[in-house]
Amino acid sequence: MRPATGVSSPGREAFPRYQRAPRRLRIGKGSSRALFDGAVAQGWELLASPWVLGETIRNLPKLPPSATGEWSRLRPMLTVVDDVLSLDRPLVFAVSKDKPVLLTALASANVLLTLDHADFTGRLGSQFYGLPLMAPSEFLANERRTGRLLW
Amino acid sequence: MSTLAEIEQAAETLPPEQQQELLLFLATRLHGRGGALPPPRDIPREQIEKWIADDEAGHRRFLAGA
Repeated sequence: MRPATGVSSPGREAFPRYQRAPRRLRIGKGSSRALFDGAVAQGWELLASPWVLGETIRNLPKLPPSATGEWSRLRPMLTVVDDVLSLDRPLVFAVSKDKPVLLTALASANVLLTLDHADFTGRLGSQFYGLPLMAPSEFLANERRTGRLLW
Repeated sequence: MSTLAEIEQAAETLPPEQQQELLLFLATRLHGRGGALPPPRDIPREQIEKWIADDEAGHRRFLAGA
């Protein structure tokens, strides 16, 4: 199984993987936070690329000041993977704006989780060359449906 | 022939195998240009707030068993 992974920028991507390490969970308000809170217990590896981290830093000042502290706490939980900029298959549609996210996830992750419905699932559908694209809450529901969720 | 419309019109007249060759030619060219990272996006605050609201609503549905 390819490592499942995650990318995270303000309201954007995260990706998971499976091992065992039961742990007490603290669930925040959104599914994106729940992914971070549950990652160790579930064995999900959350991935981000330098490009995504740059986007996060650029947009972080638009959030309340407390977000900067939260980001400092969450950032070490991400595994940084190299940006991927090209694909060994033709792309027959325009993906330039989100190309780094799509191609990096395709190279490194089991699933691309995003809240950016308009630019991802709205345009590409539920997958990209076999890589599932879904919202964090959809991923959690899917994990529960398949019996992999530990809480 | 220099406009996209003219090129598209000409491409329509090609036999299917040549249309496929043209597609692969263009895909290869685009693939070769894939080396530059775009600058990080400047995402409007309203968009970020909507994503957060959507995430929280989605999580409420998940917790409710949906």
